[in-house]
Amino acid sequence: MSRAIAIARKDWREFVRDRRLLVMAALVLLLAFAATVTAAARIAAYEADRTATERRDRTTWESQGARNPHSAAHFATWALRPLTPLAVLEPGVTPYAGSAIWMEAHHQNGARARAVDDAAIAFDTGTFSVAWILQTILPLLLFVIAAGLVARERERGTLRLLLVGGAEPRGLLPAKLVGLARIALILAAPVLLAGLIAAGAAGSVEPLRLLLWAGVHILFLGIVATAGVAVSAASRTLSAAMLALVGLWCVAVLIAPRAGTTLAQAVAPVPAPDAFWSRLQADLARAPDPFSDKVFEAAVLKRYGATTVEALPVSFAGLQLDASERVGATVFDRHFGALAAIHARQRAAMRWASLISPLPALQNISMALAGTDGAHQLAFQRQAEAHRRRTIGLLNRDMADHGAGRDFDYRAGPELWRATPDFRFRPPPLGQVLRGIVPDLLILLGWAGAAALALVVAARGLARRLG
Amino acid sequence: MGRLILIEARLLARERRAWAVLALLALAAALAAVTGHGLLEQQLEGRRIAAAGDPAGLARVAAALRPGADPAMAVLLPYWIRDEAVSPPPPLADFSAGRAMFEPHATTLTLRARPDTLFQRTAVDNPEATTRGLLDLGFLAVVLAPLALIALGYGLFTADRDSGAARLLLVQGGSPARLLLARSVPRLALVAAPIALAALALLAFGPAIEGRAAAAAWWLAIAAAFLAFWWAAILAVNALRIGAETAALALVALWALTTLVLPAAIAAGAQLAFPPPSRFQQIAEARAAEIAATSAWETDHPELAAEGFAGRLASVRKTLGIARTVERAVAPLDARFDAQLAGQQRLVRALAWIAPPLAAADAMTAVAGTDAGRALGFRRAAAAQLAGLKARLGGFIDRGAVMTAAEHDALPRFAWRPEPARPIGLVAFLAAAAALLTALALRRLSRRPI
Repeated sequence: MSRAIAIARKDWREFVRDRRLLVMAALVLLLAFAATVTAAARIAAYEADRTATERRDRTTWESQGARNPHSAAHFATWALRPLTPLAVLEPGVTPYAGSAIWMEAHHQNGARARAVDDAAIAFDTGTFSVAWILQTILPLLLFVIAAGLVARERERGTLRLLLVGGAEPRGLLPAKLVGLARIALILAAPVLLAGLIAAGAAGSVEPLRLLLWAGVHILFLGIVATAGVAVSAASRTLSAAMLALVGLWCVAVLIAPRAGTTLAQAVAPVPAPDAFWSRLQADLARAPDPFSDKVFEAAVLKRYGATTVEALPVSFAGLQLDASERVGATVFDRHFGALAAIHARQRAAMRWASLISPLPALQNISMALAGTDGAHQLAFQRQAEAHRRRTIGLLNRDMADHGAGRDFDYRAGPELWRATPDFRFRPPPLGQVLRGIVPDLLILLGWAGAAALALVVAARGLARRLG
Repeated sequence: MGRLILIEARLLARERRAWAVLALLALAAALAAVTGHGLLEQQLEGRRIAAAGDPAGLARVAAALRPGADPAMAVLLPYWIRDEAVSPPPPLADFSAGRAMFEPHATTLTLRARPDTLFQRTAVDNPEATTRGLLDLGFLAVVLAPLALIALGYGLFTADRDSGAARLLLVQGGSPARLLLARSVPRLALVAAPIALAALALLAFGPAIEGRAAAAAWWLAIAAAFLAFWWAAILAVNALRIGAETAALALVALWALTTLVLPAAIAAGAQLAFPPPSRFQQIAEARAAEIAATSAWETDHPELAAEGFAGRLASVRKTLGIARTVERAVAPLDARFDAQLAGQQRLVRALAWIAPPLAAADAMTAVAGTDAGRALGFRRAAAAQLAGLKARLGGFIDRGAVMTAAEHDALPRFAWRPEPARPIGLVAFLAAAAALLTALALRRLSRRPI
């Protein structure tokens, strides 16, 4: 053990003496702090803006004066998506997903106001964030450092000196891994600490969620470090090791996630937006229309024991609107449900990219724990739609109950506007989140096992060659 | 010289590393071609559907335009008329996807539409897929190909210097320039070939789109100049008196800095320097203006508002008045969005010179028709067309006039033709930088080769 610590200390001294690596490490740390600060500022501004808008809009809603409830249903309300404190660490899909949904009568609208719409860059290699540093930049730096750990010693002939000094051939690689892990920890710890403090400052965070997020990233960096040492041990020269590792990084970080997207589009293509909306509109147009449906009118008259619409004790138009919403809801459920199913199949297809890299699985876990993945976005959209139906239903029923004989000339007052509840997004609980990422956690553990196996094989090979 | 190149090509063919690079590039090129082909097909299908418009709506308009149509129906015509604003197909979306995956390419212009809500109901894409991005040919040329060049070129001369074989090679091969040229040609060909083949395959099997061939020529010119620039940088590093290890480290660091760090930092900086106004504020402003302007429900159902010509005319006038009030209220904020986005683009273009991959990717998406500039151009053109259409249609309502078929046919239709991008400045810059770096490398190697 003491031998391993001695080797780890030696590697640390070499790392510190190599100014090239030290400069690179310092730059990475600087980047990480810049990413943390900008993300924290961005999310604080977003949340302040969101809450201010919600307050202002509530005032607007409540002070709209006497109005017909259906007029108010068209004016409607908005659902604005809150950002979780962990979005400071992992923005996930939030730049590409809508943050506001108009919950108007007759329509289930998609989420709009995406950050990416207000950005001018087409060359996207990642969103500047702590997760991006940990998942993209730090692995590259670790690979560059790892490349020389064994290969350089072999190239210079100092590897045999280590053995002469008492190091066990099979224990050499674990010792090297300990050395790299120490460097990785020293590099990652300030990044993680700054990120976790920023996330904690951004709002109330479940400690378990935070610990798990940090834990899976440490596991990922462990996989990277282990693979790095194994490749370095299997390479004849330092340059060969570096190129092999950069190539590995290229496949794992740059190609695999994008290949997953290609696979997902091939397996479950998302319809063209125009095709989706035009099919939905066509189905809506074909659906039964309570405004022209005599069967509906007859059923209402029978239910109330009336012979004419004018004799009804309720507003017939209010009932028609209510029925129309229910008809629309079945069409929306069908189309949006099919779209969600396509997205789910895409997610499953993208997971296959984890066969060539642990990164897609890590990204799924990271985004899910941060509350910034597709499942959270879907939950936001579904909750907004449920709220829309509740609110529009409330307004329609008020018109039906109080607008008899007046229909669209009926005016409701502020008490009705005050009675409509605000939209409050409830993120899925941690248990549900964890159930959704079990396959990804297993994949990540599988990668950890594969990396350990690679290290064992490399250690045996090295022992044989030195032996 | 040809013989020397042939010898170097044979030597390269014996390297496992070269085959590994070729296999990786070929796989990536195949994936990129499949991805690009699918994306372009989807783009074209979406445009076809959007251009077809709403047949039921067209029939309703036609009925209201017939001689003898009920004036009470015809007075609603301005609210029924739709102009489908469809962006021309991007000529090379299959080469460089850029923002094609999430930028809207069509919208419907009506009297109800507002500039701030024109492009709000289109997104159905999977944000998890969009976040991860696509592996397209542009990504291959700008991100992966330079890494492949580094893998093949970091030890072009430094490895021989390390092993002590450089002196011997120079004696056998003649001048360093001859040696480097002979080594450069097969390596550059190895990296460029998969990209060129994939591009040719896309052109051969892709749809016929106006300006596609010229755009492809520009795209390939950018890719060639960019790869030449990277190769020149590799030669320059080889000319330094450093070992292969340091050369590899320096080149990988340069790649990471210019390809990953600077673009991300520039994007974040552009957002900080030109922060867009709040979308939430825009929503709230529009709603506050709307609620202040009306308390009647007719805004959404003018056809049910009143019976008879006069009643409906009054209703649509009221609706139009409210819409104009709301539009006036949000116009300053809309203008700020436009200005900030244009500011971001200017800053990104200006700073892109310090990050050649960003400049190259930007230029590639510009010739491909998938860049932010073209998207903004489409939005502006649609907004301008909407303003003109609303002025014309609103005129009928203001005058209380019923539109005739001839007047309907004379309405301007959306027809926007963006100017094709010609990034001659960037190609010239990259070519000049490549020439300069190569000249410096050769000069240094000629003077102090070892």
